[in-house]
Amino acid sequence: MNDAKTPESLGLLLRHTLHTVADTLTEDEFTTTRADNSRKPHRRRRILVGLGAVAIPVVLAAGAGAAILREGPEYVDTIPPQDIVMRGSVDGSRYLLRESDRTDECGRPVTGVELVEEKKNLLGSEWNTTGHEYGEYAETECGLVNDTSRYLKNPALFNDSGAEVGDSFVWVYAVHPDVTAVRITSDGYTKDLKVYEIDGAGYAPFEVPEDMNEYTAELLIDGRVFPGSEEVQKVPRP
Amino acid sequence: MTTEGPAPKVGFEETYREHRIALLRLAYLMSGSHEVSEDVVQSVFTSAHERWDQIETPLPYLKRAVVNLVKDGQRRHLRRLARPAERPPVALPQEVDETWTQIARLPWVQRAVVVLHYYEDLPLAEIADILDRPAATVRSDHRRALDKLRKALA
Repeated sequence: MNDAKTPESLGLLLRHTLHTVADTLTEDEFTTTRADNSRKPHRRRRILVGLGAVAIPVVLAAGAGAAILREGPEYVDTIPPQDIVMRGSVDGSRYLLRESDRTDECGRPVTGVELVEEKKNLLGSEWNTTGHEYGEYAETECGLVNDTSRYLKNPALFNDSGAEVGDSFVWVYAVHPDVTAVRITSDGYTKDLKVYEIDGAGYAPFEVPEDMNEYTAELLIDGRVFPGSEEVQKVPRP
Repeated sequence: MTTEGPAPKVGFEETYREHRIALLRLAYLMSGSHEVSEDVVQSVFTSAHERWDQIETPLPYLKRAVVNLVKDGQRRHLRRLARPAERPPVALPQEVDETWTQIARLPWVQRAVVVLHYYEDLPLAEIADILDRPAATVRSDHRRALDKLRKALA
């Protein structure tokens, strides 16, 4: 029987209860919840990757237990070819960007792309992808939805986020529609990333070289760096 | 004239790694939902990331933001209120289980006061500030919550 007769004993009971319940909640518990529901609550995953570099360990953990995305008819049945934006490979681990097929809580299409790594998405298994969207989240009647109004007024604003692919990472830049390329520089390394136009914004995936620990990203408009768009990115290594 | 606050003592990533689980736990105790907790904490970090340099005391700021976002969520996502409360991932001792069930049945504000006072060890005056309610009202919330719990657990 609970001992809640006095304010002191009730206070002790409440403290004990709250700390006991809290202690049952581990990082694994939240990660497991996310992985088990990786397809349906996509909005949550989208927020997850929106954090940028710090989201990486979580994305890594969420991938546990997933498997292979198959090519061929089964694959085509799963992702319509016209939805595939691009394909790539990091250290032999293949991935693709596809247009998002998600909807918000009101059933309206969600913009942006999803990064799909083959080995984390076995046919018949739960999806395990990361969503990337341009803009910033706003609480609405339809849940957290993306608001691009402030971003569209300033081409220097962008979103960057990513996930582990193979032994390294694929980082996705979501940029203003006027941006024509994303320039990556690092200790003699320079690369202008191709920008794919999806839903009125640009998306540029960057396959981070395995030996790169830090780089600078800048947004280009017609070959010129847009002022204020420079960002130094440290590559998180597990 | 503008005044800039001092730079935060710890970096964003370090704060994220060290305190994310604590913030998830706080959000869970306030909301009773894993999904809501993850949404809230990720949103809080996303928002904080954009203005990290202006945040003088990160952890209190983040905790306050979590509380406020859970509060907003309780107002806006009424559908979630209709869902049965999620169970913790492991079996709890009977006494803890019964008490947690009763805490979860409290009206949200009373629950928030209980969590912030008995889990976060915040004084009621500070809780009033966080919840943006008069201090006397929070004292009343606290008293009513204890009355309900005492009766329910008798």
